[in-house]
Amino acid sequence: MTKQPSPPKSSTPPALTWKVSGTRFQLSDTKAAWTFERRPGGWIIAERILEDGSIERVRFQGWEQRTQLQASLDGRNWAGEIILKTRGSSASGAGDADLTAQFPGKVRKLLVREGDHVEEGAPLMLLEAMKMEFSIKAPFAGSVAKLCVQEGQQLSPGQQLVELQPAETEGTSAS
Amino acid sequence: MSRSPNKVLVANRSEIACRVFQTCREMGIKTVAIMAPGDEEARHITYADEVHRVAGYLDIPSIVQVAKKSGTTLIHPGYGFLSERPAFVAALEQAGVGFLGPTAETMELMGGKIVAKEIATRAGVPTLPWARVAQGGDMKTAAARVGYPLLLKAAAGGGGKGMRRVDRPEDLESAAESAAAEAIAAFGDGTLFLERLLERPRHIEVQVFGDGRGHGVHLNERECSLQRRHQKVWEEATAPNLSQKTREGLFTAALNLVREVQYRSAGTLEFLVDDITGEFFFLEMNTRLQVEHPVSELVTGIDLVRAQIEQALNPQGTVLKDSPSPRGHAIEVRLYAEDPYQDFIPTPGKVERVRWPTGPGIRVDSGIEEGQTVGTSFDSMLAKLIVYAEKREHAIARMRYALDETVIFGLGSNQAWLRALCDHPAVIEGKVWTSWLGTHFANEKPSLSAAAQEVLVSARKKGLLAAQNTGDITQGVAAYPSPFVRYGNGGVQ
Repeated sequence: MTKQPSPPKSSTPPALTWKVSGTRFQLSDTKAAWTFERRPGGWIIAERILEDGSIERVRFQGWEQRTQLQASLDGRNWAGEIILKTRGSSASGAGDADLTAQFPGKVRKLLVREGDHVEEGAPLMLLEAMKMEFSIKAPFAGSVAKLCVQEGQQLSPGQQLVELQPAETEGTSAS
Repeated sequence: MSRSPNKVLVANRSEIACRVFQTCREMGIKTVAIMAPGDEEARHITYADEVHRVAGYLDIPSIVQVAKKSGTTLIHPGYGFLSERPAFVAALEQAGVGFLGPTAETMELMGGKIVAKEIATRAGVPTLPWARVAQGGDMKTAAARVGYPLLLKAAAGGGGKGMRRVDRPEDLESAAESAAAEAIAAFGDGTLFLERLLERPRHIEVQVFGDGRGHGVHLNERECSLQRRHQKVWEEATAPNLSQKTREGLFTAALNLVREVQYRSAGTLEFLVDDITGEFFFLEMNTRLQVEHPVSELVTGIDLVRAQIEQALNPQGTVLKDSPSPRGHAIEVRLYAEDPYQDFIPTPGKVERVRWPTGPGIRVDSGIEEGQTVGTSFDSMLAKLIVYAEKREHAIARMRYALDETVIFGLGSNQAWLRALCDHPAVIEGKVWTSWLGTHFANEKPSLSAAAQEVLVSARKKGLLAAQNTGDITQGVAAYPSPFVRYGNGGVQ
């Protein structure tokens, strides 16, 4: 259940904690001697001289606004969210286990009712966005404590969809 | 340049509307865009000579009214929306507005799954063995005739509902029961039919063009096996590793069908090809221009939209007389606003920066502009990147370059995932089938190289990435404050 990468062992805090596609990147501070040049067209050139005297040159684009960070680097487009402060150290805290809308969309259909017991992976509701249907599945077995949305409702990201009571705290866990 | 008395309305939006507008401009034809509520920022609104509001892109009366009011002489339906609705074409025929596509009658015929199969059989085009499941009839005999493994399909079906794979006769009955139950729940109709299931088929389609009086040509084939949930992501012309015998068989079959229905304008015949036996089977006909038409244009040098317009303006003529030989190789990828590393959840947002690649052999059919908000009301395709080169391996290398040079900031996309596809040996060898992406493409999360990490952290510390450096596009609040918020473990699929 704990898939979060462990924090770096050194005591220096990371220069940047960044979440891309659900993966947390902790980029540590660097003393590497890169020099930068801003070029027309939004390009940034980074250069450094390697030990053998050769020059390493990296051309990229980057963009940061509020907590959004994106970079076109290494032939890839990295779209992520800067994590300003670490929310506790527990990876299984309620923050990660709760079910919130991850994208704006609409509730197409509710598949469970309050009080229902659901198995891990059971579909809870169907969302619709960009002409596609997405099902929200139970991340763990438990009972539906509260449905926070209605069918047809428009969602904004971060909005709570459902409260799920884990099976262990129900006192009915078989494991 | 002479002004044409014609006016083309595109009953569509975004990328494909802009594509059609280009040809119209080249031909000196005025263009008309329609705008549905909530789509004010779309790119096609900017590029049209005239814009009219409609109630929605599926609203036939409202579009016909705009066509009449604006003096439109021809309507291009694009793909999706009303492009395959015979009722729309019939309404236009009645209103005396020309349609850049087949007749309502042809569209109606080819739109029915079972009718299309029957027409194909009549034209001598192989279809997958199939049989109706008659009420109380002997399903096992029918199944034996079709052959195993087979698929039980809901006649009213779609989206995989009411569909069951059956490998052995003894599983037939229970599978039919559950498929029928599912079909009744989903469509209110439990009618099933049986169809042979092909293991690892390739999806290969033939682009055709007819003059509406029985003469037709083909513009060679396209390989479209790389699909995810029946959505194509990578298309090529021509198909790699296809024997000349199969290729010619496909062309003959396609042209037989064009003749049989006296097809008019551009269309596509979709086939499943069994790579081992070389057998092919007609699946369905798309009676419209397809998303992936650019790859056929690049290898034949024919502008399909121009051909459609010329054919409509000269109904007694034959615009394309001979099937062109292909030259070189073309590949298209579709950039979608989705996150492949999080179960392809949508990643809408505001386009804060966009830079398209340019250079030899690169074509970009884009549906977005810098500063535009891509919302959730319309489909998630942002643009198509299309490359052309003398040889297939050069085309793949060119696609890598094109993807590397593409910059889209402000919203997420499948760009990195498409880039990873370019490096996969099976893609490079052209040895893929329709379910390959779902089962064989390891969707590994990307990781930053050490040098890239250093560069990013140092550049950020120096303030080089702050949005204000890019000009005034940071003004105003994006409709969706952050498309990347709250990536938890909650299982969205």
